[in-house]
Order: sequence, then C-alpha cells, then structure tokens
Amino acid sequence: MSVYEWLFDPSGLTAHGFCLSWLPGLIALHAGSDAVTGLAYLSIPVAIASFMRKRRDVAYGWVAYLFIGFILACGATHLFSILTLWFPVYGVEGIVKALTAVLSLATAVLLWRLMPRLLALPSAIELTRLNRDLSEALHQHIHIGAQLNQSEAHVRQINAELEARVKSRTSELAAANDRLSKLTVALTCSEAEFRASFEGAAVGKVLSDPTSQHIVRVNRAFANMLGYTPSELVGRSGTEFTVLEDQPEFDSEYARLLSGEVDTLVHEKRYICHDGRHVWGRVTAAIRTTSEGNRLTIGTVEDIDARRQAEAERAAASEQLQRLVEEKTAALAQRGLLLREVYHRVKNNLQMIDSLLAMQARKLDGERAKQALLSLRSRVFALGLVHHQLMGSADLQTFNISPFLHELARNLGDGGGNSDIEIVVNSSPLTVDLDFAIPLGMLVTELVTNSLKHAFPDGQGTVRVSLRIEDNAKVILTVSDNGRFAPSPVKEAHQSGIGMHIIKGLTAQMRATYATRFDRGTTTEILMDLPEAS
Amino acid sequence: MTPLNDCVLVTEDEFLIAELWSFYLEEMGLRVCGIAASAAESVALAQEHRPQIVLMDMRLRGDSDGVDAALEIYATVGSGVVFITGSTEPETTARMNLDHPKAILYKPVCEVQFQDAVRLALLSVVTDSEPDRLNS
Repeated sequence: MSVYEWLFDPSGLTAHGFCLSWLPGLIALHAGSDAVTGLAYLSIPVAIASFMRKRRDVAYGWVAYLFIGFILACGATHLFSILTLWFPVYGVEGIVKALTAVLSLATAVLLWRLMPRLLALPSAIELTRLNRDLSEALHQHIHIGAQLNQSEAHVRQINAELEARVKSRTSELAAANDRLSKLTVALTCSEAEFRASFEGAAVGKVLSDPTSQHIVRVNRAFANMLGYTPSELVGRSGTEFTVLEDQPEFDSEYARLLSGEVDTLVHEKRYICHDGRHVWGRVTAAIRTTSEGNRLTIGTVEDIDARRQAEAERAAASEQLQRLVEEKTAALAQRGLLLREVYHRVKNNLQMIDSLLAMQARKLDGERAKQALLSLRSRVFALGLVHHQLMGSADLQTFNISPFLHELARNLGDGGGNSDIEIVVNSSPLTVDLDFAIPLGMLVTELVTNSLKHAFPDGQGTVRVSLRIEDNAKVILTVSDNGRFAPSPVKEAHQSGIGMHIIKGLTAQMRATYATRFDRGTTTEILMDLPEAS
Repeated sequence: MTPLNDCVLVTEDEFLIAELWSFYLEEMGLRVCGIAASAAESVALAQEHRPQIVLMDMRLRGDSDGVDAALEIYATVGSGVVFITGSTEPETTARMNLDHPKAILYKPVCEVQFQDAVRLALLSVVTDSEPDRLNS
C-alpha cells in the first residue's frame, strides 16, 4: 500500500458517514458540532496571539504560544472529523491527532512543571494592593520630604541667627576689650597717682598684710606721727604700736573687716610713739586686692590727739560746770529754804506782836487807846500778809498784788467789826516785790481804815479799792468811799499825828503823788511808777 | 465711842500766840481745856480731855509735827482738827490734808477768820458725831 493510500484511504473502508448509516440528522449533528468546535478552537489562538502582541510584559509568554499550537491542533482534529464523515482520510486524521497529542502532552507537562513559578507571580489584586501601599509610601515619602525641607529652612534660619549673635558678641567683646585696655591704662596712671598721694599725704598712710598685720609700707606722715623713719616700721606688726587697752576693741573691729562684714573700718585708738608717748589716731582702713592679686590692708591714720585732748578738756569743763550748776541749784534750794524760814519767822513774830497788842488792848480802858491799838494791829497784819504772799510765790521775791489786796481788804473789813460796810477790790494783775508791796499795803491800810472810821457814822456804805495800770508805765491806786463829807486825812493826820504822816512818808518813799477830792464821799488817788518787778 | 466734850485744845509752842488763840476762843464763849507745846503733849491732853476741837500748829517742838499728832488724835479721840500754819508750801498742805482737817488757817490770822473757822469746825464735828443733839 502506498503512502498516498495510507494517507487518504488506508482501510479501503468507506467514509465515516457510512458507519452512521448516512443518517442525515446524525451526520448533520456531528458535522455541525465539529465545525463549531473547530472554528471556536481556531479563533481562541487568534485572541491569545492578539493579547500577547499587546501585552509583551506577560511572564512566561512562550506558554501562550504553546497553548496557541495545541489549541490549533485540537481545532484541526475536529475539522478532520468532519472530513472523515465523507472521505476516509484516516491516515491524515491520525497524524493530525498524533501531532495534537504531542502538543497537548508537551503543554500539559510544561504547565505542571511551571505551576509553582506561575503561582509565585503576583496576582492583579495583589498588585493593586501593592500599588496602593506603594503610593501611600510614596505619599509619606513626599510628606517627610516636605517636612525635611521645612526643618532644613528652620535650621538655616537658626544658623543665620547664630551667626548674627556671634557677630554682635564678638563686637561686644571687642568693645569690652577696648575698655579694659583703657582701664588698664587708667589703673596704671592711678597706681602712679596712688603712690604719689601715699607718699605725699599729710595724714598717715599704712599698707599692711591683712592677716599678719605686718607693715608693708608707711608714708612719712605716719612715721613722723610715731617718731620713727618709714623703714624702721616696715616689717613690724601694727599691734606693737597700739596701746594695750585699746587693742581688743580694735581687734574685734578688724575681724569684722577681715570677714567682709564691713567694707571699711573706722576706729579711734592710741598709738605708742618712739619716745613712749601715747597719741590718739583715727584709723580708716579697707582691704583691697592689688593688680598682682595680693590682698593688702590700706589704712589712713589721722592724728586726732589735739581733738581728743580738747574733747577731754571739754568733758572735764562740762563736768565741772555740771557740778557748779548742781551746787548752785543746791544753794538756790538752800536759799529758798532759808528765805521761807525767814518769812515764816517774820510771820510768827508779827503774829506774836499782834498777840501782845491784843493782850494790851484788853487791859486798856479808853476807847481812843483801843482804837489806836487796833490801827496798829492792822498795820502789823499788812506786814505779815506781804510775807505770807512772798512765801507762796515761786521765786520767793515777787507776787501778784491782786490777791494780796483782796486779802488785805477782807481783814480790814473784819477788823472794823462792822459787817454792813462793804469793801470792794478791783485790781489789775501786777507783779510786785517786797519794796513795792509793803508801802502800798500800808497806804491801802491807812486809807481804808480812815474811811471806815470816819465816813460812815450810820455804819453803812461801800469802800472801793482799785489798782490799774496806765500806759504800761504808771500805777494808779484809788481808794474811795461813798460816805459823808469826811474830814480830810490831813486833818486826821493832825489829830492822830500818825496816819497822815505815814501816807506822806510812804508816797514820798515810792516817788508817788497823791490827790484827795471830796465829792459824795472821799476819793484819794495815788499815782506811781510801774514797779521794776512787773 | 464716848461723846466729846465742849472744849478746845490749843497746840502751839509760842506762848504769846497760844494766849491770843485762847483769848479769841474765850470771846466766842468756848472753854480752853489745855495748851500743848509738843505733839506728844497734844495727843496726851486730847486723850485726857476729849475736846471737840484741837487747834494744831504745824511746827512744834520735837521730832513730830502737827500732822503726826493730828493723825493720832483723829484715830484715838476723833476730835475735829483746825490747822494753823505759817507754811504755804504745797508739801505741807498735802501733808495736812492727810488728816481730813476741818480747816486750815494761814498766819497771819485775823480774829474774824479764826472765829469763823472754829465755828464751822465745831458745827461739822457735832453733825458728824452726834446728829441727835442737833435735832433735839
């Protein structure tokens, strides 16, 4: 049998339709189904190929081409099944089927082997998710980037500021440096000045070690004050030259300076001089640190000996004065005591004279004699009253005349024994002494007694005593009554020989003038100078 | 306490002055029961006679003064005391006021002043100690 025969008619059999008895329905069913299947199989590879052309990134693309081959083969077998219905080309059909089998097997084997790798490929969903994560990450990245930018800007700004500050600080430092160097220059100058003033000062200057108090340097003034040369003092302790009793107080003051409790020490103490004399000095000290960093006590010592001596003398003088004042005060008190004693005794003696007169009056028979003694008692009483007023006064020398006149008038009224005669006193206040009060009291006594005796035969009336100051220079004493036209005191004086005599004498003694007038009573006016005591 | 007697004790170390006070008292119709020259004498006489009034000079012979005597008399007898003094110092006045004095007279003393003071003191003593006698 030839290859042709094998290919197109191997069995000598009829076409496949024969097996189906050429039943039209059956033939149509087979033919139709195979035709549709075959055509579908032909179209699928076209679709795959077109997909593959558009999606070149598909992994394992060659598998798709394997699929295309095997599906095309399957489609060909179906088309050959239709052919074999009418033509017995079973050989060709067999080769096609065998080819299909090879392709299918190869595809199947490769597919199975490829499965794990295909599974490892990310799915679309997974990819979407990845994509989303990725874009989120990207977003974050952008955000962080923005922040970074911002921070960077901030850092840059800070940097700029820092730079500016550094610049200004630098300039400040430069200025300070400048000032410092100027100060150093000034200090150098002032140190020179200090040296000059130290050496040349009129007051004592001492530089010493703060702790040991050893003298480092002194000026001439200080050395002279103590009677040494400056070099003799250097290296010795300040305490050597201080009077022992003055040392503790100075030490406690100095301790306060050392501890920093006070900045400056001011103290007065006595120094021991070369010749053993003591000299008062006023120390003003402070502790300073020198430009070399050493601490030094800088002291100024003023010689205040003269002042202290003057003070001591003044204190002694003041004490003496005090003693004198005390003595004087005591003497004054003593004088007061003695004066009171004298006044007291004068009063007592006058009281005794009054007693004697009263006793004598009791023994007398004549009315005139009794009256005379009564007048006498009034005069003695007036003297006693002056002493009584003096005793009550603060200075034991002067008193106010007004209460004296009231007291005197009261006694004269009482002594007259006639209570229907009123005595009215009207007196300005006036300070008087003994020399003024005694004659004035006597005058009032004489004048009032005269009125009481002669002006009121019916025992009724008023006697007025007035004392006033005129023009601050004169004193006017007026004694008046509203009694009958009385005989003049002059006449009375002639009668008794004593009343008028007293009035005349006392007015002369007081360098006073007097005038009497009779006009519905008797009025006597005495004009005298203002007493010195007032 | 036994009633006081109608008499006056004069305490004064100057005889002449004591005489004058006695004279003034007698003129008033009062009896003088004694004249004392010292504080002790005054107290003794006051306790003996129990007078209604004691005239008391401030300055007396001896260490005690009129106030010492007056205080004791006030405590033991109860007589009314009229001080008569030559001193006007405030200290003396203050001391006299210690003894509730019936009156204080300053020398020189005139008769009317003296008699007024004694009369008032007498009235006050009688009112204090024997109010019934006034009413009867």
